[in-house]
Amino acid sequence: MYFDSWSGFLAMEGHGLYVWSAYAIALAVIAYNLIAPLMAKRRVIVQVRRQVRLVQRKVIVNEVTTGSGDDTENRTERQEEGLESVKRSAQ
Amino acid sequence: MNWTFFHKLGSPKWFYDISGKWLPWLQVLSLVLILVALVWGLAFTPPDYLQGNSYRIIFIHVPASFLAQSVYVMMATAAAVTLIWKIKLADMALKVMAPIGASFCILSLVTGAIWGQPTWGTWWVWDARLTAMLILLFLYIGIIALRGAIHTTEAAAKACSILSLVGVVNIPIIKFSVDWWNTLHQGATLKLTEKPSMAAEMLWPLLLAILGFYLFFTLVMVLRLRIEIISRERKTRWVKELVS
Amino acid sequence: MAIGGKMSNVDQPSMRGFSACLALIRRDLTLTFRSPGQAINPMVFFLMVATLFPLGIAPDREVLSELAAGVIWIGALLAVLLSLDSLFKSDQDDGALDQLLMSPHPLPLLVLAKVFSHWLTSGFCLTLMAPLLAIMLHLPSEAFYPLMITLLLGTPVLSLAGAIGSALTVRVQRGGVLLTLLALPLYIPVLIFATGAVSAAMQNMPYTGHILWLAVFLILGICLAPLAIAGALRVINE
Repeated sequence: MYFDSWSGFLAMEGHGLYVWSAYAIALAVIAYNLIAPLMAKRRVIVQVRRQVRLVQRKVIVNEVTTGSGDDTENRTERQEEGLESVKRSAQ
Repeated sequence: MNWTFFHKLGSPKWFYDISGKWLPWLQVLSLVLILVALVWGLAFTPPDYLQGNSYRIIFIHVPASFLAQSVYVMMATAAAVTLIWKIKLADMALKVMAPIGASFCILSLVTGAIWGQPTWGTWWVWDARLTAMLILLFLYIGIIALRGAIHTTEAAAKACSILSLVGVVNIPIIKFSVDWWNTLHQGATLKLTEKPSMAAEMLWPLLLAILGFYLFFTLVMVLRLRIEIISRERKTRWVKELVS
Repeated sequence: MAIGGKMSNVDQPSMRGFSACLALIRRDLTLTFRSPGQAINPMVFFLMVATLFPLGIAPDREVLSELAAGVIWIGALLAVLLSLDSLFKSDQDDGALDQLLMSPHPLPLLVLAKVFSHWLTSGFCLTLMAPLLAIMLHLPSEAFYPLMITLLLGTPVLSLAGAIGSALTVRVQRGGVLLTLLALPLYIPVLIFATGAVSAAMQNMPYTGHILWLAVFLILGICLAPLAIAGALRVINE
């Protein structure tokens, strides 16, 4: 350790403001580079999920309109699910 | 020669799988290296006999400048690969590298300005190296803007590849002409550190910091590449399975 | 096809390419003469920029003669940029660009012809106007010849380098600002050497080196830029 005390370390013999602000900006750039991908990742995953859901819904709607498959109860359930995903994707 | 590895390298899914294994190592190694180097540089090295403590900015300024310059060359390499072999992954790399390089270019310029104030008594001089770095930032911004302006992925990929190749041909010309201009206009200018034979105790943390910054760049690039892969391969089955 | 029609009497392929280029230049020049506004506006802009500087800085003779070369060069540079926006865009709009891309002749050669006709209607006219501005801004007489030579050698480089940006942004809506962003970094070496030559002449120093470097840039530009422009046009329109 070169400096004797914490205050000496912070003051840097008068250059503290320059050194510390430079390091703070470096930290900000590093943080930006880490955070930006994380945010983008969440956004992309939400997009892809929504797209998958939309495709599924289309399949369901087809099933419903052609009447293939199951009893009425199940069908209304699925329709509600489809409506919900419409709402979600509209948000 | 066996070329399968080359084709594998171009496969987004393969890269996604293998880079998942690299990620923890990269995360730990880069952040620890940067932390060690910066703490070492801040607290455990003696001050410069001329500049006092303000020289400690070197431990971020120099790695950032190195990165900013070499990332552009890497982008040009990726651009050449995109144009010649039409490897999708290379274009994705070209796309994700641009904002990272630009951010380090800004970091280099800002820390340079902050360093300049106590050392030269001014925030900015039209020194050849500073000016060249500023122009490099313009080149980065141009590529990012072009990517944003063209909406089809394919066309944007090729346009950006051509632009970064044009840029990389121009960088030496710009550097040379800015050097010429500077020596012509101001004879006794304040030269940026005339590469002093650094003392080993200052050199080691600097080398560590450079290594750490490069690893950090790799980490961010891999992170962004993985997202780009998910985004572009969203129609494939493996991405759908991965997401849901 | 408009370009191919005229050359049935020429047999060698290289000669055909050459006459296609001539036809292309003639076509572009005819279009410019029919609606001269596109070519005149940048020149008026050039004049106006040169008028703004004395108003904005100082009308003193000494100050102006110091700044004159820089002002004229920056004005010319911006005027060329202005005119570049429509270089490929108007061809894109009326479909002539697709014809160009489908032509059997080497695209870089045709592109070079287009850039040449662009230079004739922009850079060359600006060079012809420069003496007027030199008088307005009190450019010292010893700096006049270097200014004209640098403009003659430098403005074609501006057209060549700018055409790369113009080709890359041909499909972009309102790509004017983007074009500026792409082209200006490429213009910096030209600006440095051109104004360097003029200020060297004003200090009675040799300026041949600067001029030769500008010539090098021009040769480099003629060799490399058409390839980049042609590549850009091809990939953007694929």
